[in-house]
Amino acid sequence: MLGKHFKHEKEALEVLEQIGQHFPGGFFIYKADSTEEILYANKTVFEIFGCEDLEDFRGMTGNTFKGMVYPDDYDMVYASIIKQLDESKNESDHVEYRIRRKDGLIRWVDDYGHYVRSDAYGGLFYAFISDITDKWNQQDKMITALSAEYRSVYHIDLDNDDAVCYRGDPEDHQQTVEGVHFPYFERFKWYADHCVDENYREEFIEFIKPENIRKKLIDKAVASYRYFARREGKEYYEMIRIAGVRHVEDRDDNMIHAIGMGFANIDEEMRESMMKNEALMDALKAAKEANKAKTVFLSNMSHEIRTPMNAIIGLDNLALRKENMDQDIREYLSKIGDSARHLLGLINDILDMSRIESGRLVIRNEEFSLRDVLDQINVLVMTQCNDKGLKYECTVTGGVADYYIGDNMKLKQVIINILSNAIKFTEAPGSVSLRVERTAVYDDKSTIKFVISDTGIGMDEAFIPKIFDTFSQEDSSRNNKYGSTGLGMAITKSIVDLMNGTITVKSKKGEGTTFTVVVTFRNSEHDASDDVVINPRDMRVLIVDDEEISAEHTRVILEEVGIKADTCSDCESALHLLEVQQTKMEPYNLVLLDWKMPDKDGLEVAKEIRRQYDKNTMVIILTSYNWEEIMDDAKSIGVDNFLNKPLFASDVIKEFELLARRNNISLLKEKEKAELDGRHILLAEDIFINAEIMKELLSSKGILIDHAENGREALELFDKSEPGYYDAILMDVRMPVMDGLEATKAIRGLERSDSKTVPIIAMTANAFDEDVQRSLQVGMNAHLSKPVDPERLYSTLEEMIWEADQKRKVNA
Amino acid sequence: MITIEKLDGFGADTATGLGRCAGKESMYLRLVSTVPKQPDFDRMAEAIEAGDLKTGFEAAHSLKGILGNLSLSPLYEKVCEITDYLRNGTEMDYSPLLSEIKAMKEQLTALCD
Repeated sequence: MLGKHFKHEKEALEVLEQIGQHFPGGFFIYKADSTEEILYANKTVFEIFGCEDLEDFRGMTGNTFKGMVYPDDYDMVYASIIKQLDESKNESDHVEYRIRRKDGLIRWVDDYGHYVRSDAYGGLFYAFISDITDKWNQQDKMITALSAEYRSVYHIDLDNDDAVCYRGDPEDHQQTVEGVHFPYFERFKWYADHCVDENYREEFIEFIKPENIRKKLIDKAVASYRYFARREGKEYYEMIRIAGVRHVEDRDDNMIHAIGMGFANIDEEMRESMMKNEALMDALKAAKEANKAKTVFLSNMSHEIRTPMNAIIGLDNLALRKENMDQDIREYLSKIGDSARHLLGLINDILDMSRIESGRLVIRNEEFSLRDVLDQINVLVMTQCNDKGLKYECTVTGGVADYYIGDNMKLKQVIINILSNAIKFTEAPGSVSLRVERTAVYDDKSTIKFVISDTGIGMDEAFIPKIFDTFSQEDSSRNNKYGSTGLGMAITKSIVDLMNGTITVKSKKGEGTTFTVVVTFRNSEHDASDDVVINPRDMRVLIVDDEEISAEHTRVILEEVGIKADTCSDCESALHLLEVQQTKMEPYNLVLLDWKMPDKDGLEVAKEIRRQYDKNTMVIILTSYNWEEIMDDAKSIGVDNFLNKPLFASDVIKEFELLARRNNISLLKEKEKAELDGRHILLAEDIFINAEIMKELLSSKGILIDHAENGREALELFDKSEPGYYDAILMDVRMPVMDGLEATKAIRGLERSDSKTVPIIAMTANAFDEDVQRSLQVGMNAHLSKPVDPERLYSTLEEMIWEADQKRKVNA
Repeated sequence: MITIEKLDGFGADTATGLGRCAGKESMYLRLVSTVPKQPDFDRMAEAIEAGDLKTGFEAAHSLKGILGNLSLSPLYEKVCEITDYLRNGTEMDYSPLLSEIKAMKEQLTALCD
């Protein structure tokens, strides 16, 4: 059987034959060099190849190994065997390849070979082969099942840079043939260069690098990378996924030697996810816009409703001030006012509730005077009680400090709400009381308890738990008599909650009710000696409000307490007035800005004002109905604080005092003054008597005067003088030959170091704004009106000369 | 001779006027006594008569300044009044005002003599 070459090894042959016969796997021996020859093959080999005997087998294969292997696979197998033998320590190899049986069927075989040098035959291979097609089929089916997700699946041997496609994409005309091994990295890099979108290419290549794969899969079972692919004219999102494959040999070293790799078309998935994202973004945008719309609606409604209401109340008040009115009419007006105030109260409640429910109510945290709050409350309540014949008492105990940090407006609202109810539900002879007690103090906080009691009609026990619900009234019929929305208590509770306080109630029907509010405030380090009491007469107020009635109303209430105020209706006139008054040395120190104005709203006006006047010359308070929405913006622009409309004079003064102290306003500071003694002043005045008087006034302070009788003379005198000689020029406006304005213009135009800096003070009997504007335009610094007031003259000179001195020092 | 008491009787605000003269009584009285001789009184009247309200205004305005400075209040107020009308170029019968002003000026003149 073995032929003539084994003459002397007959026994060995027989042994081989015995073994080979029963050997379950295929076994063959093959001579590799010079003349190839299949020296021996066992029965199983024949069965595998579908041959009858060795003769048949040799015949079919041409007696060569090459003839055994399916033609397409030969090159790869041959190369693999050579490579493996090269690298192997024990001269063995393992390959898998297809064969074509005699009957034409293609089968897969598994081939373990061993190479040996023999004396007799030179290089010999002996190999064990088995048909693994079924296993492959099974594997195949499993792979098919598992890889349904993927359009193609590969097995990659990282150590040998060897890849093979297990399951291919029938539509992919570029991919490698199933089962055919190919160099891994080179091929997939080609894929990257040709099929992966350039924006993802680099990352893809990094992803498939063996060293990166090994690193990635150390602690992760699976890794994937998503990218955009362009293949055969189609564009879509693709994903490459890898997983470590444990071969039996790898068990000990815990390194990744081989992986499975799948390619999946995730286009649908990606686009779906992108659509979802877009839908989410749209939903978010819509929600934001709805929210914004709600805010705008609330603040507009607030403004739209309260404006006519305030007009009614304001006009009613103005009307009632008129004397000589028919008694009946006075009564009607009075009732109109009451109803209007009541209606406004209802509207405020509703809008408040609305704001609370949309989470828009903001609690301020600012220093305030608790004493002032209580004073204001007491004044209000005392009046109401007197009117109704009730007794009222307020007691403060336990070391309540004067100042705390919190929201005084809201606190006032809460207490007045409760007190109003108390008064409402108590008939004469009854009593209402407010007790304020400090129950605890920590290092930076104090807890204050407010107890409001009355001897009124009380409430049913059953009703008490519902009292803070919206629209709950114990007896709606009764309440029609007392008239309310049913919102008051709900609002009160909401505010107390927002202040992190508590509110509780005890009541007995027919005996009375007691409300207890407990709030904790931060302590204020207010030093009473810092306190500033501002004389209302020192306040000069500019009211900027486009609603004439509102502006007038404000002006009147300020006038009543001795504060002089001017009104204007828009930004331009406001700036104009501010400038004029400052030039006249009668500057405003407080601007009350209405927020909602048609052309430029309050914030823009505030911005303009702040550009020219800083915090220590000008306080800006924004007035509006609710300012929570704009609070942050406003503060950053330079608004000092806010007041609710309708304004109360006491509020205005208190706020101004607080802010004036905080901003260290120059009203309170001693202005810097220069020494007048020895100064040189140029006086331009044509009328003899006036000049005499001026000279007298100035020389009494030690000032040296040069007198010019008209503008031309003044110009000449100035021109002839040394730069810096004159400390100031007093320029009468109306003069013959050349008037004051022309002279000033000329002086300012001279080429000398002091022509622009020397203070020029206009003197004129006209204090009209246009004249002030004109003097400013030609370069005058201040404007004094005639007949001149000596004190005003001196302080103007002192301030102007001081400023000029400072400038000179800087430029020197 | 003009005195403070006489000016008080006239209705002047002598305190303020003195204040402007740094308290110097002699200076104040000296200046007051120059008032009756002011040419502007006649200049004003003549201009108005001639229909030249602009010149009339300038004269009135000058007078106003002086009278204000010396706080010769009653005269000052009347001149203020006429100045305003003249400033606006109001066409009206200025004779009543002018006579009043003249009368007061005469009064002052008498005090100064």
